[in-house]
Amino acid sequence: MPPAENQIGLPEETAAADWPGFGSEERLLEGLRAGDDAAYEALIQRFQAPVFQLVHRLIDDPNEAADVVQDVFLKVFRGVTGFRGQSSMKTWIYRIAVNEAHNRRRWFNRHRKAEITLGGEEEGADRTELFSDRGKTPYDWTLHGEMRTAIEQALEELNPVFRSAVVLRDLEELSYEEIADVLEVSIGTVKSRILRGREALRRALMEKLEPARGLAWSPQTASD
Amino acid sequence: MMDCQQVRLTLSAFQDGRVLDEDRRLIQDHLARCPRCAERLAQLEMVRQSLRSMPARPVPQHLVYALRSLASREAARRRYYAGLRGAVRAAAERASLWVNNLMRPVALPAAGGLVSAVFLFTLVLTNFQGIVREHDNDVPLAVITAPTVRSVLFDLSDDSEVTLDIFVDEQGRVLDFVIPKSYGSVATDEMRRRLAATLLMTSFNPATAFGQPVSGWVRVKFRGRSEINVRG
Repeated sequence: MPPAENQIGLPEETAAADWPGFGSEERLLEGLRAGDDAAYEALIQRFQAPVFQLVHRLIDDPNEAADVVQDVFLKVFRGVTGFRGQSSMKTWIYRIAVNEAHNRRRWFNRHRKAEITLGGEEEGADRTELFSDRGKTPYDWTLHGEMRTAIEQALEELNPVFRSAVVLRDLEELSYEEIADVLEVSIGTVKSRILRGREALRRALMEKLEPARGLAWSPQTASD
Repeated sequence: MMDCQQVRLTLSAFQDGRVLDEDRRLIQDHLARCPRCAERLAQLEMVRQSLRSMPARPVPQHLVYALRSLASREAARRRYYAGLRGAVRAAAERASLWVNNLMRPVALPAAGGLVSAVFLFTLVLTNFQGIVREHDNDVPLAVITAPTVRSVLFDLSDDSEVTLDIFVDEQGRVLDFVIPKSYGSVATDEMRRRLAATLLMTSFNPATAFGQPVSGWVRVKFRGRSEINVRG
């Protein structure tokens, strides 16, 4: 029997166990509003890693991601007085994180597009080298580190709108209802974005894997 | 019965178990018969597994320190404002209590006294009407007044009666006089001369407008031995 789910699809015992020392989200909020150091520490311990993962998947630069995470927590700390609990704290924080990441991404695209990095060409060369091993089947790729790099590359190239939906679903493992709450869209839109995001990733991966498929049946030299 | 296009649009939701039972059975039937759609599902599953197998990126140590510092600062800030708000609220409550304690014992007597004072003043005020008295040497309060006779030296030899309209200047001197038409006329020139000579010796208080002396007409009736009636 699956555990009972609350309104947003989060299992009840998980929601209660998220806040050691506070018991419930309401008590944690009271602590935050009163300036309790332990409440602030609990919030950071609970969310610093997932928020960093989420932001880093939406912004590729780790330094930019770290800056955005600080902005996210600053907004959370300052906004805790106005948080009325219409959604869970988790979806509220994720919503702030997604919005901040999108804002930073837009700013980044506007202001840094013209900048030239010295390591740009080397990076491109490295990526072409990712697919140098043509002898593996697709299932071998999934077990190989290069496959992970390939999916990361495909994810970076994905449209940010679909990317946030796929990341929230497949990496953060949020329910459709939670994703709808975070992105402030309908469930139908969430379904559509996840479908289109996964389809785009599938096409990107298959394009990279097709040559390997063809060569997998080619005769191997004696040196192999 | 679902075709390939319909199935491919629902494969993502099918992966996540977000389709109705009936649709799920239809999709499973289709996948059992269609190797291309089955392969599409396998590829989507591979994408999902690849995403889930991506390693978690470690949180940079400098970010951990920065977040702790931020949390400490914000908690202290929150405590400061919470304390400030609490102090202001407590001071306001103390002030309110002090005012209440001060005013409550005297509130009813003060209100009663005020009402009584207003009531009595209203009663007394009505009794003051008509008490004001007029004195002869008061400055005239009316805005415009007519000339009045101050002194007269008039000597008519008989008991005849004369009514005159006299023009008095701002210094109280007679400048002209006429006998109103309805009151007859002076019979002889001698009589006119006597009237003029007599009026020259008569002094008047001038007419006033807003307290300032001005010239003006006054109707005066002389009757025998200096008995005078004046009409403005």
